[in-house]
Amino acid sequence: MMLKVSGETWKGVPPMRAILAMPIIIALIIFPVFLYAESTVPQDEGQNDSQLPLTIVQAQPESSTEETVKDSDADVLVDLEDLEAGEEMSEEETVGIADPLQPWNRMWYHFNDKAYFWMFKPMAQGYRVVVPEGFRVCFRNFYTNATAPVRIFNNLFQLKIEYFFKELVRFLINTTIGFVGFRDCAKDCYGIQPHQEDFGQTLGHYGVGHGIYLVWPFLGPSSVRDTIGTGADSFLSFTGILSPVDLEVPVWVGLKTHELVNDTSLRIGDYEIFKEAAIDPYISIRDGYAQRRKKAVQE
Amino acid sequence: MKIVIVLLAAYSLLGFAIPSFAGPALDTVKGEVDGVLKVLKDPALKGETGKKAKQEQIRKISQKMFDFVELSKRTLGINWNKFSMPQRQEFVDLYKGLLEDAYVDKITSYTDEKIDYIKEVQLSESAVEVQSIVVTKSAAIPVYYRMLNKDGQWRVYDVVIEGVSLVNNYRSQFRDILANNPPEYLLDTLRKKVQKR
Repeated sequence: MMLKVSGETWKGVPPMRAILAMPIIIALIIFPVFLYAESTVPQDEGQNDSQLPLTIVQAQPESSTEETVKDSDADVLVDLEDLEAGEEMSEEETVGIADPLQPWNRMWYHFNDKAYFWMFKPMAQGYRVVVPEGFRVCFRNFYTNATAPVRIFNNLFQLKIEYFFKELVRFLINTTIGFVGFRDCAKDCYGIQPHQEDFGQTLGHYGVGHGIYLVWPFLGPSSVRDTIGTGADSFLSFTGILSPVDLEVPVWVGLKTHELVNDTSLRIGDYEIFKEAAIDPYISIRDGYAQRRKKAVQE
Repeated sequence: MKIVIVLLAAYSLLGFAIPSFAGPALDTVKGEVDGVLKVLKDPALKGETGKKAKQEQIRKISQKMFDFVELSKRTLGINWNKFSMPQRQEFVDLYKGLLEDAYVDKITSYTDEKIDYIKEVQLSESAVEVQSIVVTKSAAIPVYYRMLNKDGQWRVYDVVIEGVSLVNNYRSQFRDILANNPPEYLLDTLRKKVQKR
């Protein structure tokens, strides 16, 4: 792998890469619009609030319920008593994300869905036949190691000093003993676990909210906050769009495609199961994203 | 000798002070999941008929392992009140069918996964979370079971996979549908989905 690190990188980002960086730039430019859109969100919540009086209505069905208790399936009805307790807990745990651009986001969800089934999945299936799983895991390790500075710096930004050192040591070990990252020797030989942090999480750590939900072509679910995070992290990743490492455009596109296909090949079938299990896959992905990111920020 | 006694005393005190890492809930999950793994690895069950038999046995275990009523209630949340008694019953059945259809198939395709049980965490007075990690050749997936003890029996009411709670995920989907539609509409959607298979 010939990665040319030069001091002059910042002078000229190749025009193609500038084009590829467009989604991030667009997001930054129209950020004020999103902020405006976000101000309409409380109205949505207000609508939900209007459903709250149901708690009061609840008293009636409950009492009629108890009458029917005896003649119906006991299994179901035994549990009705602790109905209220269950509700309080569940309402508390709800994680939401504002989605005023839903029609727009849905369009890109469908685009990504088709891109998976028509492009990435067939490619990954062919690739899987040719390249054994062990090698594919090695490639994934390599790409993970190439984004190590993202984790190192964001752990530092959040003053998670222990994790900062762990990620730094991981990077040093894997880049040397692990053959430029092809082997995750830090984990396999020394048991040093990775600690995923990105700039979106750093922003979240300091109290910045998602803004609104966004779905990007190829990149999938994100939010205003996490899009800015991805853009910022790109400066720290050896394979990022705005990376300080000057990669030729065809090389960069090739690497990104390979990374995506390689990654997909390791989890063909997961998306299908997930989609089959969902009633509305779009909402399911959105909620899953909100839940995962919330947990990632908390950790 | 004195030292030994002191150490033992200190140890037993510590034992009380530190929340237990294993417990009856963890043992319950472990027992049931081991049962599933045993079914999966059963050499007698092979081919298409074997697969059917495997799925049937896994379904049986899942019905013992999961509290589908609690799961349904928590999933619908406040909307549970909109459902009449027969609707609630049908919902529980359909939801169970949906989950089984989706996940039993997936589980039967597993072969060489290893499961590590980490610990049991108290969530509230009556609820605990059993934390496990499913290790495959290419990934390690944290799977947490949230459980309630009813009548001395620990049963699962939510599964959290990689930080995503199953109950919360379905709740947001159902809430979206129920915001503008009556319960009957959701039931109909579920009926079509479950019947299709």
